[in-house]
Amino acid sequence: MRSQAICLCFFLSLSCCLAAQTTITGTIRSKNKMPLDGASISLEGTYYGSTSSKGGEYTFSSPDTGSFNLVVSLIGYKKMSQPVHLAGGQLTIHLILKEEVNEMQAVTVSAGSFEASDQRRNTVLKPLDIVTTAGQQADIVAVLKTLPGAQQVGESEGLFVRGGTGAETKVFIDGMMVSNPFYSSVPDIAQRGRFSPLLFKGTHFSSGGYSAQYGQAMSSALTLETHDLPTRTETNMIISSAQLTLTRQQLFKEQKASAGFSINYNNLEPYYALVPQKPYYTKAPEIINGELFGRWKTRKGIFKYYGYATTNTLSFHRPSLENEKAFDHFSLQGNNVFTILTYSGKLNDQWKLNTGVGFSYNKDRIDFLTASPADTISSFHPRLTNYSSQARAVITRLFGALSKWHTGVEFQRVMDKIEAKDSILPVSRPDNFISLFTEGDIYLTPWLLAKPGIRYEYSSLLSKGNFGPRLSFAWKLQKAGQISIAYGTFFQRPETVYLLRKPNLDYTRAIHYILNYERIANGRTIRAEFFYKKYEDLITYPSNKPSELGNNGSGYAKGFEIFWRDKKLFDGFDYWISYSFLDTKRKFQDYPIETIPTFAAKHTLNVVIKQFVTPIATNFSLTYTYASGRPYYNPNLPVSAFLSDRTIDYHNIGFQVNYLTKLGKANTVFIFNINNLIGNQQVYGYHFASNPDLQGIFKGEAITPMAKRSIFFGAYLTIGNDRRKEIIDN
Amino acid sequence: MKQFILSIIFSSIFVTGFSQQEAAYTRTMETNIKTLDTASTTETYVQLGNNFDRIANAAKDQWLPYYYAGFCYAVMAFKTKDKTQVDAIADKADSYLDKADALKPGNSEISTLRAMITNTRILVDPRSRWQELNTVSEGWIIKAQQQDPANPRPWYIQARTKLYTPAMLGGGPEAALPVLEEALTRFGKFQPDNSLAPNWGHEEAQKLLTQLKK
Repeated sequence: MRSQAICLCFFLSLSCCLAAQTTITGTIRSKNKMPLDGASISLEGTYYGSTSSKGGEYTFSSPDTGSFNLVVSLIGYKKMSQPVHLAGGQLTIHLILKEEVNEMQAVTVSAGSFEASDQRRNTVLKPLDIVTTAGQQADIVAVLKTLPGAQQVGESEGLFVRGGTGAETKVFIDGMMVSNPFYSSVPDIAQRGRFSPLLFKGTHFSSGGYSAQYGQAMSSALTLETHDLPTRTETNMIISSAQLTLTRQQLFKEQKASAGFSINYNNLEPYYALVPQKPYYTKAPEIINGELFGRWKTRKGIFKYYGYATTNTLSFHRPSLENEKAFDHFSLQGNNVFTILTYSGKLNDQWKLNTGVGFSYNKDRIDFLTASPADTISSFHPRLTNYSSQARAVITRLFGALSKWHTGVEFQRVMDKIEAKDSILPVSRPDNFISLFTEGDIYLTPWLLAKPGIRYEYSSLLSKGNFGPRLSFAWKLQKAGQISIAYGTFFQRPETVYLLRKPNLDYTRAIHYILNYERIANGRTIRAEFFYKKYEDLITYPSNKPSELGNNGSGYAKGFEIFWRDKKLFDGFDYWISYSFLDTKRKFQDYPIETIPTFAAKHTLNVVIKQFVTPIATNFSLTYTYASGRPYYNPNLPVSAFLSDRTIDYHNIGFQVNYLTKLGKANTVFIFNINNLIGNQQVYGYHFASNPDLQGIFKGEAITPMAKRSIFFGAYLTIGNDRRKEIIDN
Repeated sequence: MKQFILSIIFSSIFVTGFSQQEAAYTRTMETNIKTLDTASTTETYVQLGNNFDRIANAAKDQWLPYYYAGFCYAVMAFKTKDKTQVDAIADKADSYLDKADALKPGNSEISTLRAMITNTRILVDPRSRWQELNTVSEGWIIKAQQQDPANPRPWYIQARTKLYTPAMLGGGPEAALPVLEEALTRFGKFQPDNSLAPNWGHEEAQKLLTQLKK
């Protein structure tokens, strides 16, 4: 027994003191043979190990003997372990680490796609850019207009993308379609978007070739994603030259749910009193709206509720072109409701569900009146109503860490109504619209993505269906950037104005082909994109018979776009340049020939400059925009010269200052924004009298901004529940 | 009797075995901490981070290896030039602190490191992140100060944070100076629990003071 004990004692002391040293050496490389430095190599459970050098080499010795696991780890790579047997002497072990690819690093399709998000690291824009870019203050669309592909159309709201009309861009919030994303149209004056950019954590602007998950937009899709649960209870206030807003978000205990509201009052009367506008407003735009927010985080997902209701009024008049003594009067009273409830979450490790229901309502009461003191020349009083209900469900199957397959169904019940006193009897157009789609994100490798999809749509009003195939590929060339291509057919119901006149029309259609190169690295972004777009079955009608509608139009758009952004040049300095070349022609509406439409400029250039000056906590931003002259319709020209006139080139400089400070407990941003700083003359187009004067000439007038410059001054205040307290108390 | 002798032999083996292990732990830690005190290059911090990681994995009941590994990664997050890497490094630092915190809950040194890590995250994109994260950083500092008023490091980190915050937002040299002086008073009285306990910052704080007083 004793001898055994001694033996054991000897063995133990041998193992810990006298054991033969084993030296382990080798190199650590990545799959593409690049040496990896800084990797940790260790014998599991012991102190022995090392760190790989610049050449990926490592060496260390251990007095241990027996079987161990050699563990290698490095940030950005999968941890690996290999069994080794130590018995003195020398061991050489070369190892190859696999990159740990998460969704943020894997390739995504960048063809036609611009994203502003904090979650993905490599995005062209950050949500903050939307609030700090000079131009129209805090309007999502105004910022997107500084990106390639978008046209500078000042006489009408909406995003005019690559030769498409504003109606060819659709807006989606959390996957749900927004029927009226802008305040209702006013002749010759672009209206703002309804929704504050502060609502969204992600903005995704597609200038073409977008996913099969969305449809009914021939040119472009703008998909917005609302914030998840707020990180704290917060009160926000906006006080500006035109607006008072109060928002309150309450985060409930255990941080699982939140609820909030926002009330907003806009009135441009004080501003218009200071800065005279053309036309003359008898009632300056006044907007009252309210919003409700709700968030509820469950174990596997999140419910989001968003409700919005608004009422707005305005009226103005201007000298009429029809008669020297007459005025054109216009007034609008609009009501709008938009509400969605969505759920997004995991069912289990393999399946995800995104679903939602929504309702929206819009009513416009519009009055046109052309009258001289003596008599009424013409009048029109349309009342337009839209009700839309929608439901959507998308089920996603996950394959591994990256690949997915989405399958979804959407149902929309849309009801459009019009009536006009003394001229149009009530007409209503109900439509049950169903869409089915299926689409895969198939990662052949983390650097090679194929995205096939197809979308089927059926409209009961048109009593027709359509199949729209989509296909895109993206290939990441590691450090050299990425290439992507996209193809798709995009159908769209004719616009409501046409359907109200004639319901049995066919879908209009566009086919997109896009080739894109993008490289985002070290704070610099470069993008180049070529596209070709074919339009078919556009709505046409003879100019003297607007009710004889048909699908006989067609057209094309082709061009290229370049985008460059550099945040690295100087500290706090950031600029981007975008250039778009557009060659487009179309025959649609009452165009007698195929020609360049009024909303297409051949050349568009944007230069955005931002400088943050840290010592004074102030951001300066300057935006210069150039667009070559656009065609306008001149009735004094013969049909053969249709749309051959061009407006003067468009130049605009916007300037903005954001000053960050604290007012008491409130984090405050003061914003001063001026548009058309140096006062360039800007012409969006011309309009003409409907009848020639005594000399046989149609009198015309330029469509210009309402005032030479527009100025905005305001303060955004945020008072948050002190997160310090939460940390200290936990 | 035999059994008695045997048990003595066995227990002595275990005791020596155990104390040997303990001694090896202390020795390795001391060596690495010494290197850490004079470390300046990123490579050294990477190496030390890996060393402390190994020690932590071998001595799983000790909080200090995790703490120091977290410290090395926090410094790496500050030093790294590639801003896109900072969050991943900071995540790693936080994961070490989670483990340290589980072994030694409510420790002032750990809370101080949390504030440092939060600051590295702010620096990735100050304009987007400051408003949200500066209160988180301040929260950890105040918490660290409350957890151990004798610990000078939360004051030192607070002073550094204030120094690099624009004066408009309540920072700047003038705001940093009194806090730094407060930190130095505490450094003067501070006695670490043992040779391995955190004891960094005094020299740097002094240097910072001469800089500020210029």
